[in-house]
Amino acid sequence: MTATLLIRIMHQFRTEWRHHRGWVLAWIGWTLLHRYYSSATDNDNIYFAFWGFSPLLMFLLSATVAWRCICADSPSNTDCATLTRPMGQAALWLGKIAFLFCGIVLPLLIVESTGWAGFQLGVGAWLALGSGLMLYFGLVIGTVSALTALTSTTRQVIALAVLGVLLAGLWLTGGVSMLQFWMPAKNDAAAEALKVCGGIVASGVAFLGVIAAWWLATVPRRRAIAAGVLVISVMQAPVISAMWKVDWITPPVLGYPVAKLGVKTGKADPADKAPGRALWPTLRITGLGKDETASVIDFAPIMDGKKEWPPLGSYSDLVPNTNGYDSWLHLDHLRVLLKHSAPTTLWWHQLYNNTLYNGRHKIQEAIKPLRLDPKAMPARWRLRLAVHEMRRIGTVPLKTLWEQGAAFPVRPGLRVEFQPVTPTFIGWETKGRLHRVYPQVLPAREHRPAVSRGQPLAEGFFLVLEDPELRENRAQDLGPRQHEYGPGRDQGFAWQADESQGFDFRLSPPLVQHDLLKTTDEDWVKRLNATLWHAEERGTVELELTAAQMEEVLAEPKPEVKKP
Amino acid sequence: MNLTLHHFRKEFRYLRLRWFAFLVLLALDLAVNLEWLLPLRAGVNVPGWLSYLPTVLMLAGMALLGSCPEDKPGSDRSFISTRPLPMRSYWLARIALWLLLLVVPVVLQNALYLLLSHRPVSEIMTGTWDKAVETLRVTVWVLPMTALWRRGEFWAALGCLAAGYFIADRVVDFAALKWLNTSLNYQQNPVGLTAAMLAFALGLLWMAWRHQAGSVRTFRWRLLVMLGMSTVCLMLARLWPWNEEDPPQNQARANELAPQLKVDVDLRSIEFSGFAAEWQRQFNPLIRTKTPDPQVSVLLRSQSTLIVQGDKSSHAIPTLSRRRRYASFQAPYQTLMSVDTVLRDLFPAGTLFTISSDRSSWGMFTHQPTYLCEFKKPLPDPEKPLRLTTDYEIDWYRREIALDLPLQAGAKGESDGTAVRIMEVNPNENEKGVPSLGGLSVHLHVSMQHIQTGPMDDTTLLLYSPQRQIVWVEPAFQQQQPARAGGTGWSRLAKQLSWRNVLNFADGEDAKVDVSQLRIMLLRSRYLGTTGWTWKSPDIVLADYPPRRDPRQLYRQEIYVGRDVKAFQERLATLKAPVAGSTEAEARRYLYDLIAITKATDVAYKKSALKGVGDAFRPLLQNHLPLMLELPSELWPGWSNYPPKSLLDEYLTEEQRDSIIDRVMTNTMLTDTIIRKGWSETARRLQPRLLAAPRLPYGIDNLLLKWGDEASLERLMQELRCQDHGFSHHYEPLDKFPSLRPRLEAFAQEAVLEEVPALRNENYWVAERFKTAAEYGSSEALEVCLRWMAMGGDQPSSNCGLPYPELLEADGTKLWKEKVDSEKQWPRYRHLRAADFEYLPEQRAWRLRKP
Repeated sequence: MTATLLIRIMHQFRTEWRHHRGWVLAWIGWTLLHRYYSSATDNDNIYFAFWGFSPLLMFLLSATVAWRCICADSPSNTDCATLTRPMGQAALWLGKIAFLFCGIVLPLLIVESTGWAGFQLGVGAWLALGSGLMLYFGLVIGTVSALTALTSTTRQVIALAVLGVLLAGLWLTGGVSMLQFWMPAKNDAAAEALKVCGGIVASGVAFLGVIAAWWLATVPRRRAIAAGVLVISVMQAPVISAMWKVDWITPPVLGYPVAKLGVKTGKADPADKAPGRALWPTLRITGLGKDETASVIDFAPIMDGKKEWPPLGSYSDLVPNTNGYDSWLHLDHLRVLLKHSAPTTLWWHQLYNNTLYNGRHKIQEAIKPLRLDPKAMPARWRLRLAVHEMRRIGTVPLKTLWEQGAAFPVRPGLRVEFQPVTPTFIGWETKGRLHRVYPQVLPAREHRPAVSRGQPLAEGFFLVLEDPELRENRAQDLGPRQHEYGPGRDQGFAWQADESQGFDFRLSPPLVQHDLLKTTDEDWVKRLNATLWHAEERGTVELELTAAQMEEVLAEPKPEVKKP
Repeated sequence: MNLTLHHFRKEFRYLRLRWFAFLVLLALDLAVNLEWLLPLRAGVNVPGWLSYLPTVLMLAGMALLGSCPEDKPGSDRSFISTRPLPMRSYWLARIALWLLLLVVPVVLQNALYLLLSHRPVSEIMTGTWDKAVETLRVTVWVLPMTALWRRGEFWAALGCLAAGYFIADRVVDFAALKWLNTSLNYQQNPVGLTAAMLAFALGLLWMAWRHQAGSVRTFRWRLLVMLGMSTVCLMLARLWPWNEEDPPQNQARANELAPQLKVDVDLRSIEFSGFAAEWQRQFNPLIRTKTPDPQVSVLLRSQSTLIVQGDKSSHAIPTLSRRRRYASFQAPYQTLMSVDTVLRDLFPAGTLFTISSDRSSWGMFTHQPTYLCEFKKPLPDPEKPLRLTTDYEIDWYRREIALDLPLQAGAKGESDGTAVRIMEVNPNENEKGVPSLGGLSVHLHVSMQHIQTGPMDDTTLLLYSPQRQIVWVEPAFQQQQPARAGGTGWSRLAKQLSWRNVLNFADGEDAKVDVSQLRIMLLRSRYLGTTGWTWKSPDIVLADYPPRRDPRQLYRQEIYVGRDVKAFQERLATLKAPVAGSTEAEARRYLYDLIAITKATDVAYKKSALKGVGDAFRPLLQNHLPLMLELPSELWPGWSNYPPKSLLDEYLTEEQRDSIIDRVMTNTMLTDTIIRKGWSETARRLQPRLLAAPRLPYGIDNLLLKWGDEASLERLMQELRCQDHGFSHHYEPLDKFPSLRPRLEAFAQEAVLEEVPALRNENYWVAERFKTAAEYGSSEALEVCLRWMAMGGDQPSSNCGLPYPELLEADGTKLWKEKVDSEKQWPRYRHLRAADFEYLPEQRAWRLRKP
């Protein structure tokens, strides 16, 4: 062997390319098709019908290329030409790794990474996305390669693969069942996050294991040890996955600084220069920022001797939305926007959470479900609030949004996309989505959203159509559909999350304007601007009220005595 | 030695390892399906990888159809071609391998599963047969495929086949969307699919036979022929003409009932507002049907309509999606979720129907407007009469309570192919397991006979509280895990349902519900069959049916509550009032701004702001009266006898009388002005038109009441019969004519017979009918009203109406206090019963017997 290792590796690489270029080109074609489908924004049923096959096809194609590549020079096959060629097993192994990386992983990485642009993701997130992809396909290729390297014929590969699937299935079934018996996992978000973290660690260990097994079977040609390492690599997965206790992907809860806030109770004094923001006329919060607003997550007494809080019947502004939309913004959020326009601007609004007619219950009605004894009111009450700041994300002329659509980056990993407006059966509509792309190996966001009634608060948006000429604004909640009721597309794979939450934003033409002012839809579209506002969470906070304060809060307003 | 047996043994030796592995996989599948492994449990998700098990099983089965590399007859250089093995023996051996190694184990496993699931013999036979057909369908084509191609060619051909299938599939869907304006059903008919796959297999067999018989063709040629055949077969499967997804279960009964079906196409319900938008070109009258069997309901599908106007005629054919019946989605949705008298009559009289969410409340129509036809260009003249002849297909459904279980863990029942077992009941808990006052969360184990793995197509689950006499038609939340054992004839899944405010009212008051007394019911809608029917319309002049409510409307904005007058005044201060010399554009701009702020703040209903509102409108009335008279009725704010409407009286003179009377037919807001101005007798010239009109313009009724003659009153009496909108406020003025009282009473009692007390969107007129029936002395209607009002705070949507019959305290004062918050009053009705009241016929009111 006179040639250097690098030359031999390159030689092997070229050999592999000549033999398998058809497959690699097919793979590249598939990845391009996959990317095209991922970026499609229609709500086509055909798309969904097809999509179910995508992960399986992705797996099968990459596995097939790996199998063909290793099978051609299987180290377990004593008839194999490479054993007699002045090549060296290490060069063979490295050449195949280089080929599989450049032929399978790299094209996929390049094609998939085009979908990560435009989300304001940092270098860390890009690296994590790339690492996830490489780990996933490294695992697939490594497992198939190790398995193929351990066999001398296709028949053996199939037999071993079937046997492997069976044993792995049995192990996963039996193992998981046993582990669930010993360590019953809760069916909640924390357990799910632990499962993901455990899965990542187990996959990392498995990846190292299968690569080691492949190396052992190819370079020193120790088949027994390689088989052992391969089996251990697979077997450890459910154990580590189930026993893993470190959760690094769940972000911390964001606490709002309690010291900033104060509570004022009783009827507001007209002379008070800082009366605070009213939750109820007799209960006001001071210290909130200009664009901040508070929503009541829970309001209930702290019962003596009872650890659990809130008790049954606790009041909340943020009860789960039952009309199929992830909408929870209420009029207080809209009131914040009023300050950003001229005071005499006329506002029209549309919320999807029923507060349009109901608003916040009166305080006496709000605490009624607690069924308290009016003669023995509790001494301490707790108010848990979620504070949000209304942040202007961007403004575009409505004509631009109408004709070309628009994309508003909200924060790293999340953007709001609008498609061009189209006529529908009953008016105008722009279909859009909240599009999230982030690496699942890292926390999805900086802080965990507030939770109300067991449900994390969804993203809240207003699209405000501003008419500077008529001095009118129309604020509409985007009304993203709840996950189970809309064709939300979660098409992530290989630890890259790619989630879409759809919304159908209806634009009702201003018929009264057109009728009275003799204008047309075109005039209207040309005149308006569209501004997207986001309710950005600033944290949750708990405040306590004494019995004396609650007495002031609950005091019925005295009827005003008319002057004679 | 028999050559067939010889070849069989040779191949078996080659395949035996795969076969044993396949058997182990089958055993694993059986254990999972029987829930010996990973049983379905409340709140525990099934591992995701389990969904791949059927695919792995299928691939393993396919692997059994391979053969020794040297025995592939596709290659003329194969060993087999040199052996004295007749083709007959080869094929017999291959078929025997296919049947014994693949088909028989799969079918036996299925039969064993059904047997161990304690299914009756008939179901075992059916399920086994279906599985045999499915296995045959899925695998039979692979057999000739392996004989047609050489080793390397096989995979290339398979790849081309998959790609060809995908492309052809897309083309078919695209063509259907593009030229037929419809989407084809993805749930393919099993018979069509089987026929297509068999045809494909036979085609491949023919090719393989020809290939082996010596007429060897090139790879490309064979590939092209195969792709052509696959495309034809795909079309056969997708466009299978006998696509009866859900065969009729009793066509004879449907035929028997058909002649007695009463169909009333209510032309008064149509609204014509031009042809500009697509929806405006559709003709959707309200259709009421009454079947002779109270448990049977029907759905009508328009197939074609002949439109004749003068000497012109055209045919309107609805899109395929409207013409055809869908077993999987549309029909069950309509027949199961719509609350009609059939569902009402399955429960004790007076039962209320509600939902825990308002997601589907739009679907809960008692009488749905039914699509009849769509006008296409050249559009008919709306001013001239036209006639329609529509051919309908009528689908007949029998609705029944298939299962009625107490809501207790462990309760179970089975009915006609569906078994339900309650795994867990969690009172005062929501779907997330979080404490929720009055909520209810239930985990069910559901098994179904259907071969599909999809949701239950013809059944839905209801929650019924006999103590509260309420049925929850839809839960607030439902989620089901992927079904397992799909395709076996007895699939299983776990389902979670949750409802809100069942055990408590929304304001927290205990509803006194014993959880064990609640019932969970399986409602089934059985498709009996389809019959035909033709409707011939009278002469219809579209222009005679203007929309009842003008779409040009502006609504009150909640953001102004509490600061309405201030906001109105501040904005008004920025507006420039028009003077006599102002241009029309300036006047229009002022009018728009004024109408917008008045409507948004709703100040025209604030007595303290009425003067300001009047003053704001006065410059327009003074200087631009014609512009004001053009203003549509719906845009005039406020009460009829207060500003700005009352200001019209000041500015209208006798010279304008005739033009005002002419306008009232289209601008009914002027009715009260005409009456106040004393022009009602002059307006009598409109009476013939009004009496002849198919439907009275909304708001013009006061004029007929003012005339008070027999013909006018009779016309108003006819309007009371309109089902979809109310003229119930006519009862009170008409009741002042003693001769009409008996008829009004009868009308009021009859009106509720066809109504269902359902808490749903836009149900104002239903509530009004119960209120009116109660006010005319029906204690049953009063009972319903009391329980309905008790749920004032529990309405699923803010668009739900409530009945407010005239109820009095024992001292004769009104029970419902206008100035007290509704939330404080509703709880009182929870403790009142009809028996607590006595009826006062002269006041059409009910008075409490005791204070």
